[in-house]
Amino acid sequence: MSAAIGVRAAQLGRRVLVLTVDPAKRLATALGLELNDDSDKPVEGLNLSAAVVDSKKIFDRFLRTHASESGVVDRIMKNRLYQQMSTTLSGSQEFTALERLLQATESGHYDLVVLDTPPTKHAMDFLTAPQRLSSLFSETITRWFSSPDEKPKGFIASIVGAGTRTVLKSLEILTGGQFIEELVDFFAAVRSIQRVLRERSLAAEALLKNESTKFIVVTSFDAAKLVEAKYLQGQLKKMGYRLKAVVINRAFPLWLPDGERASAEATSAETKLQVFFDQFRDYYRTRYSLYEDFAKGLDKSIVLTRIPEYRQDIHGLDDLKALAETLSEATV
Amino acid sequence: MPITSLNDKRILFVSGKGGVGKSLIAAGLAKELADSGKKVLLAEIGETSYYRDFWGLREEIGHHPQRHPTEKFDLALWSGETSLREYVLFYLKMERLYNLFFENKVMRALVNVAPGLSEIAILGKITSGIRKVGPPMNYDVIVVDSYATGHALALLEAPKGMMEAIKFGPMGHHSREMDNVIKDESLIGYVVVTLLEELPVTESIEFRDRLNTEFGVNPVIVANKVMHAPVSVNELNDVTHSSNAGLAEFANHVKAVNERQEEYGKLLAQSGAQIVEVPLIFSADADTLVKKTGEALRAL
Repeated sequence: MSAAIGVRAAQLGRRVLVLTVDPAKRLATALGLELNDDSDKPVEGLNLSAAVVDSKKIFDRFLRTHASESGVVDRIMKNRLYQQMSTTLSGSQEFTALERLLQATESGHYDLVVLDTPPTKHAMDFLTAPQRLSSLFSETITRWFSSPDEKPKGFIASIVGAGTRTVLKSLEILTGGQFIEELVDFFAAVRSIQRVLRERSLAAEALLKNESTKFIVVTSFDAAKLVEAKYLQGQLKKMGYRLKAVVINRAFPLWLPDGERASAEATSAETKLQVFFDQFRDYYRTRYSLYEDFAKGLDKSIVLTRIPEYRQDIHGLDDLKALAETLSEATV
Repeated sequence: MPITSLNDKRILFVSGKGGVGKSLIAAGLAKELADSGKKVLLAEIGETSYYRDFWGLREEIGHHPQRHPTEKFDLALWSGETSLREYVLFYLKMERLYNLFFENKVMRALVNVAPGLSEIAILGKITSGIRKVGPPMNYDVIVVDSYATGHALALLEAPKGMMEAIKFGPMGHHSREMDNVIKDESLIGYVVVTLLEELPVTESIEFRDRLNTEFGVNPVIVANKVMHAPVSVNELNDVTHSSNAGLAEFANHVKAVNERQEEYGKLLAQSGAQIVEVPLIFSADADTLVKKTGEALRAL
């Protein structure tokens, strides 16, 4: 869907970059993306480029750019916690996606950057990532883990608060001492880049709240999913993010003709199919009324679009363009 | 693996691409097993509940299992935070120390961000009955409505990651135990839900292969929302030439769906996995959906 939105905007004349985190193989091929290369790739025939967000590469590059001395970079890269954390750290995928977004908007090459948010069970994880990370790397916290002269060993004795001492001792019961050492070492090393980490997290948050940043929620035609979408809409508003459009995927099929019923001379096949058709229509009618209720609850300023059921499989750029064309100008 | 063996598992782990209906399949499995006399818990994982809205329940679904108002199984929602809290309390026992742990700003930040900690806690909770750790869970089977494919893999891979980071202490030991349980097919059954469409089928086959390679397990694949039109191929072809334009167009659509379903059904079969089909159910009523889904899954 992000790719389709990107294509539509490009067709309408803007210079677009689509950033995608975990593209399906066919989509990646259609956009000319390769697994090992995360640079911006221009797409044939359109004023559009696409790129994969490679979390590990972005994190490593970030380290090399911002660490004050190369010794620190090596120390962090060797730390086992970093090796684990840089890719699996809850929030790291979001941080790197947002960092990539920041870089793209700062480059000046594009009028529009579309970010496909990382796959999480709930979009809220993505939206709260900058705050979670910046709170972890806040000055107060990193100070708790490192002594004034940055000595990683025997630090527990020199730690400020009795609270931390007790907490870490109890953590040792669960994890064993070695983990604590690694944790301390990690934070000591991170101390030198924590300010930048925090600044970038705050910049990412500011970007998300900026007037020119819009959110598009893609959901499906299912009662529980619509409730979730409504909740998300409320949360976005509360956090100061701007919801622009809601796209409902897998909506009822296009071909729902209210046509004539089978005539008296209908063949048995036609009659059987008519019965089946009626079942389908009644089924979709119920879902349609759920949709109508949902639509009523949305703010007037939010664009609501339905993408019909059949346009799901993307085999190539043409399919993507066809899907893009179903999106109105107001959506993008 | 005989199709009836899903019956003897202590844990059923239901996953699949987002949007294919895995929550409904999990609910159907829970109903069938509970109606057959077993003590069943249907567990959701993560921060928020799908089932509460699905069944229109008045009460919130919490960490501690509660009986479903009308069905014979229990419901619970296990998040990383509630599972971790339970685990820590179990070991630290002292209330005061626990408060220090969780009030402490550092710990809260760490828990929010630490790699795989949430996943380990949840997997720990899921396997706690079998491992006889923590508060007792006296169920014959726990049906887990798990995460979508990618996140589900992260969940299953978490013990391995934790074992690397923490070699000693209870957490290291428990991670090893969890890793053993999830690989033990006499205890745990895996169900991968898909639709007979390109993206879900491709993803399901990849997921199945990874489960096979990394964990040595053989998931059952459930093809959901399969359309069964009550007309033969010949009859369909006839109707495409009908003078009734609306019906003719519909007939063409049904033909296309049949062809697609056949194509992807074959692809699935080629993967060597055991496949069960659940038909498209024309109802928006939760109880009907769960009942009919359960009936279709009876074969398992």
